Amino acid sequence: MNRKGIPPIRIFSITAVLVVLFIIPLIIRDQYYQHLMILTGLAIIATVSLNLVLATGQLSIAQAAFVGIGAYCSTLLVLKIGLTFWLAFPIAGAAAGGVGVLIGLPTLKMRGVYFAIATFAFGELVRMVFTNWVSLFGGVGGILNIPAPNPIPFFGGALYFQTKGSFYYLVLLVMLITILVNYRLLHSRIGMAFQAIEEAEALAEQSGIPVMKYKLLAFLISSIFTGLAGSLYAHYSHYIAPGFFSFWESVHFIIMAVIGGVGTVGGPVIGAVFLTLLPEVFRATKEYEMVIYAIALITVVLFLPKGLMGLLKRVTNGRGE
Amino acid sequence: MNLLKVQGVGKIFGGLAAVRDLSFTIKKGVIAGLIGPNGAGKTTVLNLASGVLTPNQGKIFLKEKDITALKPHSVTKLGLARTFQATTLFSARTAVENICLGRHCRGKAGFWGTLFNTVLARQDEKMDRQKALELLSFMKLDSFQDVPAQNLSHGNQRRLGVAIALAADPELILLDEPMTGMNPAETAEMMDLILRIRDMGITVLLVEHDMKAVMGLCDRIVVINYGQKIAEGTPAEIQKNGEVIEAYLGAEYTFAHR
Repeated sequence: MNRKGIPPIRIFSITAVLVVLFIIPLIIRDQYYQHLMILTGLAIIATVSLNLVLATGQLSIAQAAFVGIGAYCSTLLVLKIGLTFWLAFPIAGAAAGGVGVLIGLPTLKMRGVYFAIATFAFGELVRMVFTNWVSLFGGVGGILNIPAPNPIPFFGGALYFQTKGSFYYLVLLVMLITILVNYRLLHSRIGMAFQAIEEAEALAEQSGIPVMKYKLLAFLISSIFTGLAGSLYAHYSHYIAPGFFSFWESVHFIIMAVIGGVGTVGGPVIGAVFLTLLPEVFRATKEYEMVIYAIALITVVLFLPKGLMGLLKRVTNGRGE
Repeated sequence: MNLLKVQGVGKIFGGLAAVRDLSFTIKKGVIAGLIGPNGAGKTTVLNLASGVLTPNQGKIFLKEKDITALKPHSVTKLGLARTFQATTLFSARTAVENICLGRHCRGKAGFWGTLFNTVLARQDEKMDRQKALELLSFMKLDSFQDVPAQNLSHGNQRRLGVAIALAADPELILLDEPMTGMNPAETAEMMDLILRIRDMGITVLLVEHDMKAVMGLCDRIVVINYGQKIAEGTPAEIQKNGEVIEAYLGAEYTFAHR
């Protein structure tokens, strides 16, 4: 990032956004809005992570399964073994990453629709295990009373995470790290190689890019952060059930990434914000939510090939790329 | 020194032998040719040598190192690069980005270095760009530096394809029909380019249908038909070889008019 200098406008706007993100829960104290901000943050983590896999040209429909793995893993570690959240949280990420590698190794050789089907099947398998292994995962009813993260000592006092306002900062921190890591990766030589794989896999391999290793790397990093999002979700909502991690949720993340604009980090962020908040705006017309979704998706696919991010760039540049 | 040694290699596709008991060697510093009628198995040989395919029998050595079972990216890293028969490029990326991607395997920073953008990572990027610009001027593509590959002319695209392969600092480059679809001027330019590549100290294995180019450029030629070697020698020897003439049926005409 410390290239020949970032334009001052860029530094200014990034700082401004950060400041706003940090003070916003102090200004907007409404519980409902704070709830939405937390959900948006979690959606951003999952969508930005998905984007990394999409960047290598692999369409994964298992994103919700990785959220679920993170959520259940951390929940069980806390409830059954009595681990502190602060240990369960990273372990949940590692577990999701581990499962990602196990699934990625045999499936990432497949491309296009075959990989999509394989990840779809895996996602549904995970959901069925959550549903049917009642003794461990609590069945369809899921698991209740998941505790909030333990307070951490802080300058003589302690930081608590029971309130939405405080949990927001935890989500914000993880979200910013996710965005930073993904941004750095996608703008590095490795990120260029990811996109080269998407564009011409055989040529990339022949040009000396370790295609399989990189696909696995993208999948691993994506799974880790997605698992972390799952853990955060469980300890925020205090309740998880298999239904939360269905195929439809995975599709939801894909739609967020596509509407926002695949390939950049900004795209998935915008997509996640847009599609988390949009349904709330149209809450009164609950039945039409899916219709609005469909219209938004079709509009973007037809008219904005690079998603909302592409539109934003065109507007700010005053012209197309 | 033998740079590439193909030893008793066979490849079977669903019961059909595309390559059978093929052996040949390429010495360092030469331009070698691999010719044969359509369907003789030339591209299969390139795919075997470059790691796209793994042979059913035999072994392949690059600088005495067994590369038989290696994947393409490892083979490239060891110093064997290739171009494709069809013009294959990262079409949406600019010319300079295409070449940078070809240099990927020469990066030194590794994953963490790249993630944290260490000095090493920045050096990698600087080297990529420097080398890419060098290659662009070597290919006389300077003025197309920031043009997306898909917008280049056919001749320029093919040269860019060669540049991607050269970016990996290979010792041996396999060129799969580099003159296909080129006009005479472009062909002449490509011939000149191949000579200049050889002069850089890079050994060339050329697969090409343009006999004039092959006979004019190559120091040694291997002829295959039905996946088997039917002749090997200097261009003069090959042109006199009865079996080769028979296999080509009309190629006699081509030879006569060079």
